[in-house]
Amino acid sequence: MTSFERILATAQGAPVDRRPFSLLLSLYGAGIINAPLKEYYSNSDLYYEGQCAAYETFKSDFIYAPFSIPLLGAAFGSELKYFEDFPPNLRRPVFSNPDEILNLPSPQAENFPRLKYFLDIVQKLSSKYSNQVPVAAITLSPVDLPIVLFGLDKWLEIVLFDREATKKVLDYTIPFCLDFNSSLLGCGATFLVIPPVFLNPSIVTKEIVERFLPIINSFNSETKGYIINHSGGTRYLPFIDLYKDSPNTIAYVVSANEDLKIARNKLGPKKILAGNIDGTELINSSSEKIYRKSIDILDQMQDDPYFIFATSNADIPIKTPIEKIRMIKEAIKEKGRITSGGAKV
Amino acid sequence: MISEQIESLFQALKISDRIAANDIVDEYAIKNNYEDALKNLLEPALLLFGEYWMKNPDISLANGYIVGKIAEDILLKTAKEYNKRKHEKIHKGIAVVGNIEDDYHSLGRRLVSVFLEASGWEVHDLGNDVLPEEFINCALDNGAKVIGASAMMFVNAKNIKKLRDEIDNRGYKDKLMLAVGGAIFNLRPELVKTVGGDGTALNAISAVKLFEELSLRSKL
Repeated sequence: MTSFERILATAQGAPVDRRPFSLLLSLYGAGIINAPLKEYYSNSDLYYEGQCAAYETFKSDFIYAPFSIPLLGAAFGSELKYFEDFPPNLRRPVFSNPDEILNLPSPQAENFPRLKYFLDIVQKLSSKYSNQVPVAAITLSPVDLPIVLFGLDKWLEIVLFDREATKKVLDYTIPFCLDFNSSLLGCGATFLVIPPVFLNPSIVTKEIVERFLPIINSFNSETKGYIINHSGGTRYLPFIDLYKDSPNTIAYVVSANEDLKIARNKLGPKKILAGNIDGTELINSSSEKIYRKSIDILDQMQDDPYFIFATSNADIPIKTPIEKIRMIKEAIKEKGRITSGGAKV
Repeated sequence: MISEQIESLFQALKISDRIAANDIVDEYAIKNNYEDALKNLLEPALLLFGEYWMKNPDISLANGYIVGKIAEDILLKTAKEYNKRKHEKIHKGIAVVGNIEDDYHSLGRRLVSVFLEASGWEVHDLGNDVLPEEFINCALDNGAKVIGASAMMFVNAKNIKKLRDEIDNRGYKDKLMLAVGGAIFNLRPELVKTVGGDGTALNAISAVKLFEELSLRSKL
C-alpha cells in the first residue's frame, strides 16, 4: 500500500498493511540538508528539498508543509525572531488596534506575497508525491489567526471585552482564511491541519469556544477539503468533544500527555485519532525508551482501526539523532499490526 | 460583613464577572476608600482565587486575564485616590520583572505585575526580550531584591540560565533572588533547576507569595 492508500483506508476503518504513522519533520528536514533556518523558512526550494530528504530518510505516512504559525503572521507584517535550532517565533505582532485590520488589502491569499512560500511548497510536494504520500498543510481558523496579528494579549482582550471589534476582525479573517485554505487545496494539499492555538483550554473557557463554535463549524463546512484538528501541543482533551462533529474534520491529534482511550471515548469510534509520543522530547529520551513507549502506545491502540501513531506536540528537534527517530519505525515494524476492525496483517 | 463582601468578590472573580466585581469594590469604597478596599477586600479575595486556581489547574488564561483586569481596575481607582490625597504609597517590596531575552509572550508577566502591585509591591516591568544585564542593572538601581524572569517556550527559557550566571558572576547569588515562570515551567518543573531559578509559581497570583518568600531569603 502507498501511504496515501493507507491513510484513506484508515479513514474508513478499512484493512491496511500496517499501522500508519506520522512524524512531524517540518523542522528536521533543515537539519538533514544543513540549511540555515532563516533561509529554510523563506525559500520554498530549500524547504521542499528538506522535506524530500526527510521523507527518503524515514518514509513517514505524511509530509508536512511548514509547521510554523508565526510565519503566517509574518505574511501580514508581524516581525519574526529566527533561531539556530528552532522554528521562528513571533517577535512583534503587526497590529495593536482592531481598526488597523481595515488597512489590509482585500482578503485574498494572492495579496500577501509571503504566502507564496507556503503555496509553492504544497505545490511542489504534492506534484512529487501525488497519490503516494498525503501532503498536510498547516493553516489557522479565522478565530485563531488573529493571535499572530495582534498577539495573544490583545486578541484575548478584544474577544473578552469588545464584541464589535471582534466582529470587525472576523469579518476580515473569515474570507481570508477561506481563500487561503482554498489556495492550499488548489495547490494539492491533501489535508489542512488546523491547530486551535487560541481556542484551547489553556487559553480560553469552554463558554468562549461555544460562542465561536458556529463560526468555526460554518468555516469548516465552507472549506472544501479534509481537516485535521491538531492540538499543537497544548491541552486539548477537555474541548475535543466540542470539535468532534465539526464539518469536514476527519482526524484529531491529541497532546502527548493526553490519554488516547479517553480521547477515543469522547470522539466516538469512527474518527481518526492520532498521537501521542512527544516529538519534542525524542532528543532527550533514550532509544530504548522511545521504542518501549512506542510499543506501549501501539499495544494500547492495537484494536483501533482508526488510530494513527503520530508524534504529538510541535516539531521533532533538529538535533535529534536519526537512530532515535528510527526507533519509532522499528516499533511500527514490530507491533504495527491491527487486530480488529478492518484487520489485515 | 467584610467576610461576606470578600466571598461575593471571590465568587465574581470565579465567574469572571468584571462588572459585578467592580460594583462590589465600588460599594465598599464609597463607604470607606479604595486604599482600604484594596487591602481589606481585593487582596483577600485574590488570595482565595489564588488557592482556587492552584486546586483547579484547568482554569484558563482567559479567567486569569479577567481577574487581572479587575485588579487593574481597582488599582487605577486607588491610584486616582492616591493622587487626590497625595499619600505616599507603602511598598511591601521592590521587584523587577521581564520576559527573558528572545521571549515576547507578555501576558503572564503582565498579570504577575498587576497582582504584585495589587499586593503593595513596587514593580519595575522591563517588558519583553530583556537581557541579563538589564535585569540586574534595574534591580540594583532601584533596590530590588527579587527579579522575575518569564518565558513561555523551552527555546527561550534556556536564556534564563544566562541571567543566573550573570547574577552569580557579579557576586549577587543569594542576594538578588531569581523567580522564574511561564507555561513551560508548569509543563516541565525540572527546568527551574536547569536554568538556576530560586523558585517558581504555578500562576500569577501565587507569584506574590513566591516573591515575598524570596525577598525574605535575600541576603541583600
